Amino acid sequence: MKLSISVAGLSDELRLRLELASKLLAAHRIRAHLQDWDGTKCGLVVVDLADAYGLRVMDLALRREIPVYAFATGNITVDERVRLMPHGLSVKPMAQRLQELMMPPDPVASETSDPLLVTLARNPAWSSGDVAVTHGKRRILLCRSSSRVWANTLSDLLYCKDRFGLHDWQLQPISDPHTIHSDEQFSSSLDSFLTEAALAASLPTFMPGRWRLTEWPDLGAAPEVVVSLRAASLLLRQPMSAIELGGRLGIDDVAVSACLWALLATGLLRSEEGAADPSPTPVVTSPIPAGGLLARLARRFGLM
Amino acid sequence: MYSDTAEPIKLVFAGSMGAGKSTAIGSIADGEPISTDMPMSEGATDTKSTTTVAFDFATVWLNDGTPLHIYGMPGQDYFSHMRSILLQGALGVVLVLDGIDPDIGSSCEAWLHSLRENNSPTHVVIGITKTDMAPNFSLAPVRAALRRCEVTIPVFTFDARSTEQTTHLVRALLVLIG
Repeated sequence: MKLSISVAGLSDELRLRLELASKLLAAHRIRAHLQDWDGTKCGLVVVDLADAYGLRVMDLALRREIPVYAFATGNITVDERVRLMPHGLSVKPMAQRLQELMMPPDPVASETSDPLLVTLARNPAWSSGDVAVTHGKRRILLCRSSSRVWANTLSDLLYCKDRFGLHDWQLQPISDPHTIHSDEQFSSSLDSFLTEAALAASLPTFMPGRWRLTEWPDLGAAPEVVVSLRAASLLLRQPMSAIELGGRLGIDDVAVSACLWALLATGLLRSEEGAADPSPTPVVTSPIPAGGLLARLARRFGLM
Repeated sequence: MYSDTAEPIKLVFAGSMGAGKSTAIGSIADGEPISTDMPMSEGATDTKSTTTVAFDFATVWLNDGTPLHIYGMPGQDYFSHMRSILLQGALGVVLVLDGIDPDIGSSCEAWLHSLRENNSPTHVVIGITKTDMAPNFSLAPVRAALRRCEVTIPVFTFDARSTEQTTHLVRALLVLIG
């Protein structure tokens, strides 16, 4: 794991201590690199609040949502996002503070027997925000904030994609994806990944009620799953139940459930409170009228 | 709803210079696209040394022998006068954005405004290329730009070299039209 630390307003002696502390992180497989603040993106900013330039950099970093550690003496009131360290802090506890930033809470084993995809879709603890999921020695990062999935290797990504129907995963929230995915070399579309993972999994029937998409999911990397494209189009136009959606698309309960669980796990699908009960007799219709130019185009591009 | 017409069916690929419009067109065209690429006078890189100065043109044949004309708009502002000409009568637009662009949200917004000013057809889909080359790529700025523009349109990351993935963007456009 890499950590790029930008410093501002530190005395030579303070900087030297910080440099030594950052080198101690190597014991935790964290490669920290110190540099003067130059305004570019970094994993952490360390400033001295006794210095006017340090104060200015702290404000800039907070505006850019970069984590900030600040050396301060006495009772100082600062933004609650800033973590304070006393000027006299020695190297070892300083290293521990840095390590705390890099090491998120310990992974939590999934407590239910639900498939991972269902846990990610409907468990309030995991259905929003960015989550790291681990199966055996393979870990991937599901970043809803950027709609990307990160892995060390393509092999890890494919391995995990085939196992979203299992429950024996460990989950861990990610507070700062920029910091944590610095070691992950491979990224792809999260929405496409979940769509393909859902098809490979054995999932329960989707929940009752009507559902609506708020935005288009990024399905560009899942061109084989044409049905999800049509489902997204329908769910953006009006709220629908699983039964209605299946009826409109002409697909069975298993396929429509997979599609909806994936969309719910992306964080883009919303329940429509108070909507009417699902229609018991859905009508199978094609989104493209038969015959005519559109139908010919749809046939040419594999939509029908 | 798009109706049948005697006019040639036209699809336009728009977007910034170097985003991958020509590559995307080439990946779905039936046959070699006609290109007006010229050596770049400045900003050439190892992977891109030419740029489109008028437009790209390619044909996709429908199953009944009807041609679908595909045009690629030049990305440079210098050729912006071409935009309204190429957009006239188009079935829809595939807006190709560069995933490496650090200000992709603003680019997206600027292109959507430009398309609107040039009487673009209502139906637009966005394809984002080169996300594999952008270590911190995020879809959030593009989705935020769409919210600012008050539009809900498909935004897909895709590999412009992939026939399947470029085809999928066209499918999204057809689903919108239908």
